[in-house]
Amino acid sequence: MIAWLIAQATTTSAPAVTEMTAMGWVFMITSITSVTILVSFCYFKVLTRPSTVEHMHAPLDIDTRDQGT
Amino acid sequence: MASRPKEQWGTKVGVILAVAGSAVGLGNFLRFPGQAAQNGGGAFMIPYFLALVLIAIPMCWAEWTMGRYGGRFGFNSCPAIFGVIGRNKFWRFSGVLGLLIPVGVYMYYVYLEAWCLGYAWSYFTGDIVNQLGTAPAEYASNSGKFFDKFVGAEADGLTSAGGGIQSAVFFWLITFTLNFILIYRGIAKGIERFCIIAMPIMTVCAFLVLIRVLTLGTPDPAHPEQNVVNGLAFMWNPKAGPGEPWWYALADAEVWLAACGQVFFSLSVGFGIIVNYASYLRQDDDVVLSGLTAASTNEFFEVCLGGLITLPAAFVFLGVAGATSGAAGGTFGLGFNTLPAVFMHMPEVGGFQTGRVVGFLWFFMLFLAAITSSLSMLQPAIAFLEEGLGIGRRASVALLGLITALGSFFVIYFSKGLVALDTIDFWVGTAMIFVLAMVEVVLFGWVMGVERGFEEAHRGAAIRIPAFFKFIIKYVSPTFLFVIFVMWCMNNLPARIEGIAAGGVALGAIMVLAALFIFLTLLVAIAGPRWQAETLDTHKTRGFPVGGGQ
Repeated sequence: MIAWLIAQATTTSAPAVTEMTAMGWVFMITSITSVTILVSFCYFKVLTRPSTVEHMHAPLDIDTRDQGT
Repeated sequence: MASRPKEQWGTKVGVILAVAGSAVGLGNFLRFPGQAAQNGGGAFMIPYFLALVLIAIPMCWAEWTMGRYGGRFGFNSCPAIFGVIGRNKFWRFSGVLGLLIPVGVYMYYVYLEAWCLGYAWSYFTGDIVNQLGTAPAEYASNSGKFFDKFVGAEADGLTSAGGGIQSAVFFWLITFTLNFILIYRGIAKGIERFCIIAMPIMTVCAFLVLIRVLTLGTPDPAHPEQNVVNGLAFMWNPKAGPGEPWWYALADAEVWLAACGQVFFSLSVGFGIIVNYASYLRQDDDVVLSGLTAASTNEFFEVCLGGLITLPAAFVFLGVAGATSGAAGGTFGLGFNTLPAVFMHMPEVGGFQTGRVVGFLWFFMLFLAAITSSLSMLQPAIAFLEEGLGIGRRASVALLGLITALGSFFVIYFSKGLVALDTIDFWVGTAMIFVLAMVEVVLFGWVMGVERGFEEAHRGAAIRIPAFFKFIIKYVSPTFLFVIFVMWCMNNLPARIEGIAAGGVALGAIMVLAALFIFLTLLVAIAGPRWQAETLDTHKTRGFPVGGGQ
């Protein structure tokens, strides 16, 4: 695997018109997968956190400043 | 601050979506792919993710933490919050940037928002489809003409070349009014409620466009090389100079500068917006996970959607030359010149113009992305006027409406070559953001103190920030920011200063910004004694150590 990565790293840049290279796939899949995993983890934690019940504010607690001004 | 009723977010998801909505904007879909393709392709992602970890996410946590801390004293604007943390006038006045930046950016951003709405409406009515013609060879040039006429880029004034008021002016009126209606309704009923509706709609629109782009295959049999996979290759293949290994791109300072700049601007750090939004949290509300979630949501829109839609679609229909031109055209070129031509090329399905539907979805999504951002630009100034001058919501909305309308009118009127817009974007939307970001990171890491800052951040936190981020926030982030800022100045300032020295609209734009800066500084000076009295009172009341006054 490491040898393959080194080999890919030493290949010259792709010309302007080209097919997807192995490193192109690596960068695209790694980037998208890592961001997707991160955002999934975050929303999973946010939505399943047991101690944080959604704050339900009483009407008087939410002031919109649109009265009495 | 007991006399002023406190606003708060209604739900934890609401505040996350509001902050994410603030960050997700046109740059995610239009700027990111162009920057990546021009600066190393896939190799761009290495400095990009490094900057995300070393600058952007730590800064998000710092802003969330400082904002919630300031909210404890009943403050919601940067000058007041920075004053509470820094406890002297320097920090209070440095917070003026946290007002100048969002208000200055709003003055032109609401105009871009109007373009998006106008384009979406044109696709809905079919007007743009008719105006781009039926000859594929003329789509690109007709698209450019449509844009110039729509925004009045050919001449200053409010009338278009063909006579009559520019279409963009009508859409500006609509978007400007809509923004102020929503902001008037307040944090929970206005911003939060809108973002909870808009963000999912935006996601659905983006996925529909993505599915259409990824299923294009090879639409033109005469050009088999112009297919989706090669379009993705155009965007993601790592590349350096001709004949060089791809990793040579990493030795290019421009690549690093571009990547850091993209991450930095994309996440809306250094705007003063996150500080303001976080100040409406409760004191035991989580900021660490919320900050990370908002940042990762922004990254999802940027990398996973922006990175797969625009340039691959341009490549499939316009080939290497068209996609390269689109990438080089920047946000406006790619979004409003290249993509309309791309949508025109999309094949009909059963006599149905899919390009028209995709065009509508695309620009409507951009409009939602823009309005969730522009709303966040108004709130810091509204909060400041309320808490600094002691005026009510109605008066503060009216005053800010007048200020931003005047500034926005300047941008719209001097539309030739979009010089006014570009000048304000450069000085306020770029240079000042760097400065405010450095102010914030020093304030958090050195003045508040990284130990105290982490202790504050971890109050009610759902996850803990790894300890090595203390070192990063205190030493790496400020250094990284400073080096990038110096490099950026060396690359850009000489040409800009020459432009101002030449006079004309660029100089006028600078004078508008200077007037705004002086006005806001005076207001902060008026508000200072009031805040000082209230802060001391709050400190005594709640048992916090009394500082030396702001």
